[in-house]
Amino acid sequence: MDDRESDFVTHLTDAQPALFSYICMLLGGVQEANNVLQETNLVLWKKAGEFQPGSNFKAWAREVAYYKALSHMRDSKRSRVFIDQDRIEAAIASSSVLEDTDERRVALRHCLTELTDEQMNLLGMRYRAETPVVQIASLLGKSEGAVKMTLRRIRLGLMECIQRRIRAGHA
Amino acid sequence: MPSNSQEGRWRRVSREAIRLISQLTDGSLSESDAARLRQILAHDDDTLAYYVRWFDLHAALHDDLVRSGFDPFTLARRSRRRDQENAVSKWLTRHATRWAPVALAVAATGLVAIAWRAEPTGVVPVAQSPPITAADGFQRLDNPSIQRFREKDSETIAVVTKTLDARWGDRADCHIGSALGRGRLRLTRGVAQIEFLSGANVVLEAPAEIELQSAMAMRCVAGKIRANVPNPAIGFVVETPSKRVVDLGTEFAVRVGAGGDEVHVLDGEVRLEPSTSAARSPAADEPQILRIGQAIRTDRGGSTSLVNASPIDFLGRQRLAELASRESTSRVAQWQDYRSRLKADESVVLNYGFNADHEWQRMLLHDGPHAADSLEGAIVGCQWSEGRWPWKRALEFKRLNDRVRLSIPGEYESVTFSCWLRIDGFDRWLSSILLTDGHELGEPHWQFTETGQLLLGVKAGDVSSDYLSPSVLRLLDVGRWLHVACVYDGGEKRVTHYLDGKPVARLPIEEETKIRFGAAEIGNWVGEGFVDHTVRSLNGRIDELLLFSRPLSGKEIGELYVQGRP
Repeated sequence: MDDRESDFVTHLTDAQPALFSYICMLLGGVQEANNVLQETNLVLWKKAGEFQPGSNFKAWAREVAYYKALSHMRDSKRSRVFIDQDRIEAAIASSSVLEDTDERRVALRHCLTELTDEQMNLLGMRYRAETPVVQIASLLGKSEGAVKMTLRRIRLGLMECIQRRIRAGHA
Repeated sequence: MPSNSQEGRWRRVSREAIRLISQLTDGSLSESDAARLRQILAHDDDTLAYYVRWFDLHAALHDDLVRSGFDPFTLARRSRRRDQENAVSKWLTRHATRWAPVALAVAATGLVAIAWRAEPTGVVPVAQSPPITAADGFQRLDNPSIQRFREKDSETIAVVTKTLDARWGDRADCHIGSALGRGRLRLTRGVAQIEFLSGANVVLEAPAEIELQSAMAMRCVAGKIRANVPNPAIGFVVETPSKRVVDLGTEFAVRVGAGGDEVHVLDGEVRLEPSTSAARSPAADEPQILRIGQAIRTDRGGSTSLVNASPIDFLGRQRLAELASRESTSRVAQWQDYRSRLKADESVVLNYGFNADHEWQRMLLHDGPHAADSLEGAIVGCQWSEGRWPWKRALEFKRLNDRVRLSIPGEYESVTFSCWLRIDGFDRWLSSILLTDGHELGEPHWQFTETGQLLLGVKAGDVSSDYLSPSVLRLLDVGRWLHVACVYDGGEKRVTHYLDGKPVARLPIEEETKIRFGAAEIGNWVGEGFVDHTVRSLNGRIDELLLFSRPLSGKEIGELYVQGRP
């Protein structure tokens, strides 16, 4: 394998979490994002020769992912993606959200340890056990709205915690 | 600092936008609400910034927390077109062999798989297999069987993880490692431990009947169960005829008998609700918290009494593990007896019991009946590890060059192969069990395919006759000890494959030949001069391999299985 190919594989591997996030943003959820990601990977491989070493791999990969997401939405007979390409690119450019994914995920790990058991359990039910909110609500004997509110607060807390940690890391 | 203002910007996001985003994430969004959200995102930068971070977090939590242990192939996807596949796979095959740590692989069969897991920098390696050429007559690219084989059985909600002398009502095929879907399960003898995909685990004592409902819920129809519920599975529900027991982070037990049912809280607490099926009285509708040390008994009439919890009435995980280990030790004598009978069988050509007195032993000893040093196998690369029982050794075949080299003299009209094998992955297009070097006239290749087919290839005339079973091995078999056998019966002119003592494929011999071996390998292949599929190294363990110079009957194979069953 020459250096160019190995660089490509490294880029593609590194870009996976960010691409997954990006696709989730477009689709507004995680359920179908894996499929779109795999289709995207396939095209990226096919076009490996077109990638210019030194150029922005993630931006190039997002371009492909965007069109895969569009065609996915079209195939499943639903309306458009949630954000147009120029809008989402602008949002990405003005923040570092998809450029420092590894750092953000490390930060998230730390932030998760700061949660209370109760908060962690709720996240566990929602994400690990993939329990629908309706069911969580009935399990906990709370209203659906209250569970959503709690989840929202936890997420907001995590978002702020990640920001705080990233900032401290850069300082 | 731009990030300083970030939190400030989030506070400027409208309540409506927050509600819509929350609804999109945790509920469902109506088409008109979705349109409204798109409109806001198109014009409001603050909301957009919030949305982007929100979904980045949502995706990260999904990656980080979603259970992955049972699902190595989630991300595998078949590509659409063959030309893509060939270009991509050739390219990846070339470097994947040289660059193993990179977790990218294309099974050239058309599977493009990238897997990455929770580790922020990490990617989980997925093995690759060499390209299929047009000449191959097995699972074709356009055959969906590979895809089907690799797709997780989405019906699975629990797995059997430990058993002790267990017999199942109507499921003879239930064993350690079996995946369980929704439905009833009857344990008629022994004890079994079931782990739900949510993390909850339940020990079942016969006679018992349960109904699995989801990864988070089950019903106890009759008998005794003891449930241990770790944090990730809090909210796990066990339903009895009279009660719904909602776990609140605990260990509890349930007994359902003819007279009524009991709930014992052994640790933590549970919430009791009236069972959905129970006749409701207004008083019973009140949920009730039951704490550690407490137990409640409900008779068939519906009247309840509070009693003390009695942990010793219910077998726990620890006790089960102890008993299972004692049971395995009691197998030593049975095993030794079986081995000594084998030694007396004149038709045994090769008898590897995979015993080693020392870790440093690098020879596989042949145990007779015809003791011969020349039948010793030379271990290359493989490490000694645990076999079917904690006291039994096995050789682990992991790396590309792990193998046992041996040489088998003679020429045979019929042969029988028997092997106890633990497959750790269907990594290659073909994985070797016992293969002769190269592939000359009369030489057998006993192996399995990446879609779980057993395959005996015998070179006869100019070509190899390939005796293939259907896909009898499944992804769910990964990691469990299984028995495979193959009978090449020159007299009856047929080849029979066996799995766990039962015939799974019977095929007529296409072109007759005497079987001969010469230089051969266990768990690998020397394919010099061959271009395709030269990598056939086994990913797994072997702890017994036998070769007989006669066709064993189905009954005899069944006996080999029963004698050696872990």
